[in-house]
Amino acid sequence: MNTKNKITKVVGKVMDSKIVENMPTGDALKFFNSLAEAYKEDQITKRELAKVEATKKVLLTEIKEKYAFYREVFDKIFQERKTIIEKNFELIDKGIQSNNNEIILKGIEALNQVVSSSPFANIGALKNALENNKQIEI
Amino acid sequence: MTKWKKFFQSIATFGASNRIDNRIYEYEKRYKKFIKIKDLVITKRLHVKTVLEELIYTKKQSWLLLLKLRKISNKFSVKNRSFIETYKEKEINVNLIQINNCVEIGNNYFKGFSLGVSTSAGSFALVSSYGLATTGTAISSLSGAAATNATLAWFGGGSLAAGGGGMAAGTLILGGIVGVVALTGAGIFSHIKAGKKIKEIAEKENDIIKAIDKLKEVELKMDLIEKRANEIISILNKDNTIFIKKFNEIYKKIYPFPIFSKVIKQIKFWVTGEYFSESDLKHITIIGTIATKISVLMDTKLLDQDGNLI
Repeated sequence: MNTKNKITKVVGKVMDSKIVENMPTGDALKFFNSLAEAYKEDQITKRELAKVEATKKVLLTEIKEKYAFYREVFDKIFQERKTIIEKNFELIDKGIQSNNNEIILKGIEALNQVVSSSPFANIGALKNALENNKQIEI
Repeated sequence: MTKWKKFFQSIATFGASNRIDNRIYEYEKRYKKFIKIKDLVITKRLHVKTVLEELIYTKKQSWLLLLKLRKISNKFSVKNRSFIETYKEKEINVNLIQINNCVEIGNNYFKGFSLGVSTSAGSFALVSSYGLATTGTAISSLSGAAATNATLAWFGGGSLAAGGGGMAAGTLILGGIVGVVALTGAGIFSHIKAGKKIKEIAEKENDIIKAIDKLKEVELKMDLIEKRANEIISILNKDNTIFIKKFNEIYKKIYPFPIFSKVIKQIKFWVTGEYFSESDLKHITIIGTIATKISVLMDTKLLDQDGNLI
């Protein structure tokens, strides 16, 4: 039902009622003005509420997707680092077994490189990509 | 509120009362979720704090090992130092200044530290998050409010759990809800007012969603910092184990007959001015290299001064 129909229906109901018969013309006009004003206000509120609802939907989707994305990326990053760390632990153990200092020091150096390369180095780029809806290869 | 009262209220307000009730119900559901996540973050914060304490403890163990090396390096002549630092063969690379700085800074921090005993927020922040500053940053410049702020935001007090607003914000929002419940006037104009109130509640629900977003960010950061700290702990532990093994091996090579070897070396020092032989020094470069790597690990920072992960 459109706005005009709604108003006509409400006005018709009010006109049919006994209230109108006993009501002075000035008051009736004031009443209808208030009614129209209230209706207008209600429509504005409805529009604003729809806006708030839309924001809510966006926020909820954003939160869900954002953290799922970050967690997936960082899980993979840390998994990759873990694999490298474990390989170097093995290398060091081999070096210890064979008493080969060169291998041991190589393993330790590789481990230091893993730690010195921050897993969060690309966090800014990730954030930008997420904000701009760009595709990222993990 | 009784069933009948609700029923008549709903009629009197053209259903507005029901709409408000539904909104409040939705809002409260969201608020409960917020509280649940907040509690989770608080629990996680304690867990991460334990992990960081473990990191500090591991760093302390490393520092104790570096002190062992210092007992040897105290006997170095200028020539020995030069030999050690310039000897670059088979992965060997010793940085005595780095090791020395690490030991000095550790002297200030690790003496009173033991696991399970909470440290002051300042030193906690400093050691766990800003490394040991062996690269030359003065301790005094890091121990101020600026240095602890970022970490405090994570680990100290209510601001963390709040994600900015915390309990205070939650209470304020809940206060708003109480006001909404009171609004149930009669007639068509109350119906319009109800629309506005519903919008207001919806806006407040969005505020909660934003607060949840912040909490989730903190939760993610905590998980990441925990992973990073565990990574450093595992590598430091490995390095420490190797250091002890190699140190004991090399110590035996340098001092095959503990007391007698030391006496011989001392006499040699009085005569030639050199305590160690070139062969000794070559052995020492191996543990020196491991010690250098350990000191670099000890200096690894987890957060920058703004509390960002680095």
